[in-house]
Amino acid sequence: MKRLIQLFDVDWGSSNYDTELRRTELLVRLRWFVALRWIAVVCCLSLAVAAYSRLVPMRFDYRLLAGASLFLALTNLLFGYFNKTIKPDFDHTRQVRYLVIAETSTDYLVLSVVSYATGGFEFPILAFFISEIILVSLFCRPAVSLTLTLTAVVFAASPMVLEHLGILPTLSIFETSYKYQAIADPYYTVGYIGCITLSFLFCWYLVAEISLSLRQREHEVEQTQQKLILLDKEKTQATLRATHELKAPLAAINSYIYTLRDGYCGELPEKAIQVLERVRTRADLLMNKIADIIHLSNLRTLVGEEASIAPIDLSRFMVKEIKEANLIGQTRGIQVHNLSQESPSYHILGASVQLHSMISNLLRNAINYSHDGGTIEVSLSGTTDQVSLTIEDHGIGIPEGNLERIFDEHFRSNNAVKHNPNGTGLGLSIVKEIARLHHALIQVSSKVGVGTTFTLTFTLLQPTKS
Amino acid sequence: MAHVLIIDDDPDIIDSLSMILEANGHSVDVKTDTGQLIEDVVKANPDIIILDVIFPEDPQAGFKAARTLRKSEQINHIPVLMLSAVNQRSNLAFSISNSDISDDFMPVEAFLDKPVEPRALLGKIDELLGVPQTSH
Repeated sequence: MKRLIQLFDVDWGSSNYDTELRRTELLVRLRWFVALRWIAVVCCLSLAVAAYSRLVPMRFDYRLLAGASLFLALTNLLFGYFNKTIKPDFDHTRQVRYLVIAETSTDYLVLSVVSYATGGFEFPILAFFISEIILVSLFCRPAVSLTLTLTAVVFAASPMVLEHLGILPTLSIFETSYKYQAIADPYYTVGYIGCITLSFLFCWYLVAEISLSLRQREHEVEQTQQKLILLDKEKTQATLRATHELKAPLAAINSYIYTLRDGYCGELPEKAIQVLERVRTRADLLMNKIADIIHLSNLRTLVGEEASIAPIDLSRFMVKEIKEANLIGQTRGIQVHNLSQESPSYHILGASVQLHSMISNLLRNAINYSHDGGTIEVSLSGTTDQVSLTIEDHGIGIPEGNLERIFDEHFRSNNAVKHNPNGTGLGLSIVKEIARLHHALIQVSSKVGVGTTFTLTFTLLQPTKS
Repeated sequence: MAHVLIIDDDPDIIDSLSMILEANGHSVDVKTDTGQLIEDVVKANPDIIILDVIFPEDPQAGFKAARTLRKSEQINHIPVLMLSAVNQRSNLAFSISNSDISDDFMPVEAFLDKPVEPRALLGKIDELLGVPQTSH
């Protein structure tokens, strides 16, 4: 009883039955019913032809069956049209509701006529009412679905009641006296209608109850999702504030350095300008380090689902990255060559912001640890389900003993510090985290004085046709 | 020379930008929050607005202010130059760059990273005001 009361009592928020998802699902089911009705039209018409031609031993009323088929076909044309034109958005909520009521009522009427034409309880047409009750109990509010279920009882019982009252002539497909006796007996008629009522109501209760539980779970999932969205928003805002709080003072310091350096506060001696330049360099490094620390801490808490993952053509992506890297390398005469200019498209799933960060980190490393005037080769090679991106420099290389530590935070090998004192020691940790996010395999081989090769292997979104 | 309105909450940024602008013949007006935006901008009647993104009252106040300015027919002809320290170098998903300029998200004429090099700032102001480029 408690559950029965709950069926009417529960407050899920007005949107719960009217969400777009639910309306879409309902329209899909209604389309099923339109298709099923065409099958029903064919079956009904076949039965009418069979009865007319005496191909079946039962005496179905073929005129009523043919009339019901024609009516169903005509109404189904209309329902099919409305089903296609009504969109599952909020503006069409009322139309979707009216369509359900119209389709269900039409089906009840046709089923009632067909039931009468096929001898009422002599032929199991009434079972088809159950499918309608299931549909309305799943998608309509309990009060609406109960009303439609009781309407089904009325339509299902009406041929028998009308026959019993003598308003309609009694039809028996087997022409047995049993049907006539049963219809004439008020106890039998009442008992039969009571059974129909109970079975329909039981069906309604069962489906509405299951539907209630499912909706409550759906509601809980929706609430949890809202909480997660809110938490994510709060996290983004907190990171934004932290980034701003840490970077804004440095931006102000650098702004003052620029005004001093460029003589806006009066002419400075050459030595003071040199000192200012060093202060600026250190402030820049600190700014980069803060950016890297925040980026890394963000990546650690990021899972693939949160990272705006989308299909990316890695071949095209690399063209842009290599162009940018060449601009960076220009000042030291370092050239980055794309060895896969003619390569086919390799589509992977990636978060473009993070992917850019990972690849630009590797390319900047290759430039930073190359000798002036050096070259870097970038290539892509694919198999049927994977693509490998290789970045090869001919720079200072990494000592063998340090290779397994290069992805550790703040670790920098001695020769790297000597060659480029301005690194943050966080770049490769960021690369490792982004590779994790993309389920990419990262491999490195290096020899001191010869160079370093990084290879990133991604899973292809779809097998490549070369 | 132009009349520049700086909308920023950081007194040091205001100070350093003012020094650069005034030394190059521009006049400067300052606003330290985004409240009463339209009234204050109309009152200042600037040729160009320099706008920060993050304000203590709201981390997105700069974007909202840019949208308010763009919607006002009275002042939407005034070019807006946006400055922020949370730029692409931050490598964050919400980092801002010139590519984010759009009518519905960041309706401004240009974006520069903070701290901004004096030459870049003066060059961008000249560009937005249609002044022929000179070396500052």
